[in-house]
Amino acid sequence: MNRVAITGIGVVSPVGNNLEAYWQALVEGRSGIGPITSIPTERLNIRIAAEVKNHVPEQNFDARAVPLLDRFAQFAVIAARHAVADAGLIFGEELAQATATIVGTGVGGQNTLDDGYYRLYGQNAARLHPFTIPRLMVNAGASHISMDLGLRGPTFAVASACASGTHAIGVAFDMIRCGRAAMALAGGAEACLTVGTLKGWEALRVLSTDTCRPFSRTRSGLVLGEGAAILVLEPLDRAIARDARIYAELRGFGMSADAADIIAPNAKGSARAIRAALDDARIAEDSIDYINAHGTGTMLNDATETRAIRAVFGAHADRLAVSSSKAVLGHGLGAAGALEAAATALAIQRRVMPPTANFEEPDPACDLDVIPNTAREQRIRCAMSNSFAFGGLNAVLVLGEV
Amino acid sequence: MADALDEVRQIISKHTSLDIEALTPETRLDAIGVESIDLVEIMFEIEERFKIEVPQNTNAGSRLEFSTVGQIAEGVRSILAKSTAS
Repeated sequence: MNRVAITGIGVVSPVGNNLEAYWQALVEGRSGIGPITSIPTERLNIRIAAEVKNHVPEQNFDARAVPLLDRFAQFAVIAARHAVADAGLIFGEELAQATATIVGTGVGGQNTLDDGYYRLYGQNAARLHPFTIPRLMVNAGASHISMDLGLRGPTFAVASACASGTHAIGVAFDMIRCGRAAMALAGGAEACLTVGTLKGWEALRVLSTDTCRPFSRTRSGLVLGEGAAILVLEPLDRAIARDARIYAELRGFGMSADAADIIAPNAKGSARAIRAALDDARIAEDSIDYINAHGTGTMLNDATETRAIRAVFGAHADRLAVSSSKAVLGHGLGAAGALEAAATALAIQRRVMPPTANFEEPDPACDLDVIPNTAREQRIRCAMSNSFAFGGLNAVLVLGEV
Repeated sequence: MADALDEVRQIISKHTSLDIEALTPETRLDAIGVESIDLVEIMFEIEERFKIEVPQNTNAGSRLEFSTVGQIAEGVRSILAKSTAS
């Protein structure tokens, strides 16, 4: 089995598309949440989100290519380009054929769907744009990365709602471990801040009206986000041989399904995924110094996640530190796990634990060291990145320093 | 507006399969197995029936206290009163 290194990271995020800007915002707890500006808000009760700002498709794509790309696929391709450049990779023919592209997404081309249906049902349009179908398909992000970079290996999308990005990275990790792929671009992309999607979320009554405050007693719900993150994964030996900069090693991957409720999180199911990731990494609980939590900022998630962490880590739960990046990034759904895995890898490399921003008051139901508001300089031997999705689908990654 | 209470009882009765007579203003939702996700569906039906917006969030800091059948009916009445006034 190959050991697997993370050697490149690319992000498109509510706090910038440059990796340093991204990291600085996470460390300073500077939130990308604000009033929604990219869509009409008259019909919305909740008018805040963590939007990707100043995104101009024509600055990144040929004018003829733009009509082919939904916003989520644009984010995926931009993040992939950044990741490859960051890894210092040039793809020869042989490597291109052996490189996998695996992209998680919750819903795919939601902007295309929403715009199309508005035209069709709202404006009684006679026809839809000819690229409606290729834009909205869930695999469009993965396909466009493959075409843009000429990657010809195994390529597909992974869908597990809010865990999609984590599942995608985990699957790619397995493929490199077992030699099925020589290199992988893996992560997640999401752009579903549309009127239709937001009305759907409003009806679930889990959205905050002000901001996202994970683990705080005063938390008021989640805030939707968008973006993309793509990681370059390769065998550790190969990374060392080509003298690549290594952010962290991917050490373990755990998955589980709750088989319980379609919406409510489940501490037992979450704990089984955490346990599976530790077992896969063959490390003891006390090797984990930091957990980048799912931490959505809903009453139920944060308390349930706390119970799951306590169930697995026992007394060590009081020694490790936990933070949620969602106060800064919002909940990027299918992109969230990838954005957070990127944050976790950077935390290990920089030896800094990013804080839980927007924190106000401790909650006895979330009685962990949640790194309130202020980052902490500290070596991280091993870290964990949690994703617990609607549908009861859980995915957990373990990363370690090299 | 005794109507609001009757309509609310009807909606909850349909949702819980409990006899409408068993639902009094004092009936506690937790006592009849209505969880937060059920309440979300009940709110949806109430909003559709009365053509109102109920600003209820399942997270803490909810602006309305919905623990009993009567509290829901009271909430509906106050929203209806506000919308008639404006």
